[in-house]
Amino acid sequence: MLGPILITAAVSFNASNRSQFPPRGFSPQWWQRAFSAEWVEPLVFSFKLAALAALISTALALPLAFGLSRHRFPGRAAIAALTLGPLMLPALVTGVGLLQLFQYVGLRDYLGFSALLIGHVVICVPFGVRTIAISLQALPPSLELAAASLGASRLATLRHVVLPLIKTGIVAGAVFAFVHSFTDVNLSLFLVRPGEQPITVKILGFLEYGFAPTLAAVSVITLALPLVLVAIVERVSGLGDFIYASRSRG
Amino acid sequence: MSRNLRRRFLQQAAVAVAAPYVITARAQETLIVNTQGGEYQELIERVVIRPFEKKYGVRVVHDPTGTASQDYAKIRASRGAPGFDVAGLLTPPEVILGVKEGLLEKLSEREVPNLRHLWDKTWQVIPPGSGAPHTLQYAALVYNKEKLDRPRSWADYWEPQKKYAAKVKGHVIQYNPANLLSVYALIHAAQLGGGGVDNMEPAWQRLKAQKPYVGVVVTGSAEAVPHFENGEVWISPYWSARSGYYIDRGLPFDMVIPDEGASGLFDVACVPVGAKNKKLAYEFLNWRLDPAIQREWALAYFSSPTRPGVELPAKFAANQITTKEQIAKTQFPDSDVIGARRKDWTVKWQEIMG
Amino acid sequence: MARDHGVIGSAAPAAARQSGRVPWLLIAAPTAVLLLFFALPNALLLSASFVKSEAQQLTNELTLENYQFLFTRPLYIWAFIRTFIVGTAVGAIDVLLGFPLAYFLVRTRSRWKGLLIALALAPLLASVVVRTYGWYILLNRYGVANDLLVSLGLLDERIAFMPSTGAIIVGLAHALLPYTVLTIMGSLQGINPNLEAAAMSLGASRTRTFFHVVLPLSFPGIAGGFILAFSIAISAYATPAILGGPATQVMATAIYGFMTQLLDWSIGAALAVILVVCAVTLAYAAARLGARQAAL
Repeated sequence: MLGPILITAAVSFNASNRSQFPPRGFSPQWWQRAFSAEWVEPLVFSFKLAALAALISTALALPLAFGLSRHRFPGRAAIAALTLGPLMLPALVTGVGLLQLFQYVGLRDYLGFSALLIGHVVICVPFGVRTIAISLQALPPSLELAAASLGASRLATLRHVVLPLIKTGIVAGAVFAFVHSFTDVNLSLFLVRPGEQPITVKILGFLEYGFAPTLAAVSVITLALPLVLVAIVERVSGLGDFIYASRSRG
Repeated sequence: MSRNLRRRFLQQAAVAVAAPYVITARAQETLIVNTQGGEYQELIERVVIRPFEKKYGVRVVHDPTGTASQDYAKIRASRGAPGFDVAGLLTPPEVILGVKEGLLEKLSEREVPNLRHLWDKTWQVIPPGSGAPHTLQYAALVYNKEKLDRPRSWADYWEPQKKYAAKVKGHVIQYNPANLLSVYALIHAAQLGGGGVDNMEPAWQRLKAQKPYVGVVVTGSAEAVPHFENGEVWISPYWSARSGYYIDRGLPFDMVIPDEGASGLFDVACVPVGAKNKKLAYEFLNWRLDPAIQREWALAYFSSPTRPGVELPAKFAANQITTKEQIAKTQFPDSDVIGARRKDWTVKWQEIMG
Repeated sequence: MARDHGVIGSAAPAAARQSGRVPWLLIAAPTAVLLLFFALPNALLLSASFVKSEAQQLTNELTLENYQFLFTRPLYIWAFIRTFIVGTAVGAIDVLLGFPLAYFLVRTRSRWKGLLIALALAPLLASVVVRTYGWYILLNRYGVANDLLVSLGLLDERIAFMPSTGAIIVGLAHALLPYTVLTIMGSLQGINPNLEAAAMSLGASRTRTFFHVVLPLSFPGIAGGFILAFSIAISAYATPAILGGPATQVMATAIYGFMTQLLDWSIGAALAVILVVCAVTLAYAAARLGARQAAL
């Protein structure tokens, strides 16, 4: 069972270390360039953008998931479909559309971080809605009834019973959103402003003109850094258990 | 009328709100130039941009994203305000489209004085004043000199089995007509059969016949390079400048101008109508056409200058287009027709190759 | 037993499920954002599909010829069919592979749980570059897979694994597996292991317990994972672009070609409209049908 995961990781790491040009080995000069300002800046930019996009999209997804999964009203299925839309339409189209829209209403000065943030939030919301709805669904109603019968208000029940129990869904949604934003290139391509571009767009620029070993180094960093971060956080705070605590109690 | 007023009000309101986002007053003027990434970025920054910054005491932000058509898609979607002041690497089809859609600033010799020094032929290729052509190259044939004998004609690419027999099977490359290189090669194929841009039927016949020998199909020119390097592709049409660059770096290939002649390509720099810093943009374009810069750029990029009279070493110039006779012999496919028919050609190509 | 929705499953506390009343407070802001920044710009852009394009320029003529163009060309009909085949295949593969993985990750008591989960997320973070050239190196005619198979004697001659629809499916399934794994984990995690213990103590075999207790309870996660993988797969551009070729186009690559290479926005928009209408209709149908079973 571990096989697929390990193979996956191995292929990802292995492939990125292959140089395209006649082998030049692991000379450190490529890694030096990878850490230079021209690459670090977009990397940091992507991080900030993705973090903010994950936060906002999950915050929007939470009430939406509640509304869609716990209530039945006319138009519910339509809004559920609208929510899935940004995932099903190639991000490129939304990117061009947003660029056009911004220009049309005269907001072109917002291009760059703001426009990117809006675009990324839009394409990330579907994740949170899905994962939170699934978590909600798995919630035994008896828990909320029990809390209510013990005298807790709706709000208190929400805070102390429901929210902690759906944290898996919330965190999963946020993680997906972060990743989706971090790796998006097709939407971002149209909303960037020089100096405000995510790492993926920068890589694309290189890719279209040739595959340099520096690129390989940057790719490894893009892959390894979040992994290392997660591993550290996990060690320090036991995040895995926090999210995926086994239900040994009734 | 009132719509414009409303828009301006919205704009000003937006600017007021956007104040914290707008970069605060800089000490220097800034120009934003868009070209391409990878090696091109490195070359243009070294040869053109840094000297420009030094000479005029300004700051240039270089935006290396996007191919020519992607950049134009941005220009169109943003109605001429794509965020950069100079679209530094457009090809004639985009330039012509830009003029038709009114998205590119019209240039005159007042703004860009060096325009008057360019080859006359440039204004047959793109509308006068639509842009500043700064690089001239052509579609050549490149071949792996360790695997094949020197080709002489476009027919050696389109009907490789005639010259090279069955061994070349699987070692020929095709490009999607989204790439101008493919369009040029197809036009040559049509010409081999007595046709041309107005009659592409001979090209389709040759494509169908060539298909069994094709081993690799790509879209972007850069995508072909790994296939050149690993020995998969032995013969290909390719842009002369980039070929020169790779060959100089050790690729075991050689470049040939086929007997039928070369098809020329101008790389053009334009100013979108919504550019913020037009004055500096015009200066930049003029700088690009300066003889010293033209010389340095040609040597670095392995391309030809777009103005006569630029001094180049004889050995280097042998592969370039530098004289009046050579320019006269170079054919420039009609970019207007290409723009109009490209979609149909691409669909036809996909249907044959699919 | 597990199918009785009244006790376990979709029914929330009775007070919360008010039929017919729109929960404005909950859905207003998110829906507004989606309408304003997704539906609106796309509606504006895709309206170009009803306009004639001449020599790459949009005219003012209303027409249906763009759609006519697409419906009469096998090339695009196949692209359409292929898109949905790829989507379904990727969704199915990822659910089939993802479920056992998710089960293991949720139930494992190993010390390395967090790290394993992080590893499972690894493909998510691999940028297009890594994935692209990774698969190229693996699958091309002179690549690692061929080397391996030929040296093992399983292949007489190198075959071109790519470009092909199969390669696209493999590449996308690999890239999207983490989505289904995490989604299914979310559902599995909510299942009280005591339930399984109870079922088995009442005499049910492991297999029966699995099929009658675990599987139905994790259905929302499975369905959600499938929908997620499916949706991303049908709109994916990079992987089909690299692992496919002119013979194996999908809607996304066709749209990309028309919008940014050929600059013919009428046809590009028409393609996008067809894709989004079909996909959203499917989503709508799924939402209505699955209302009681799945989470949405």
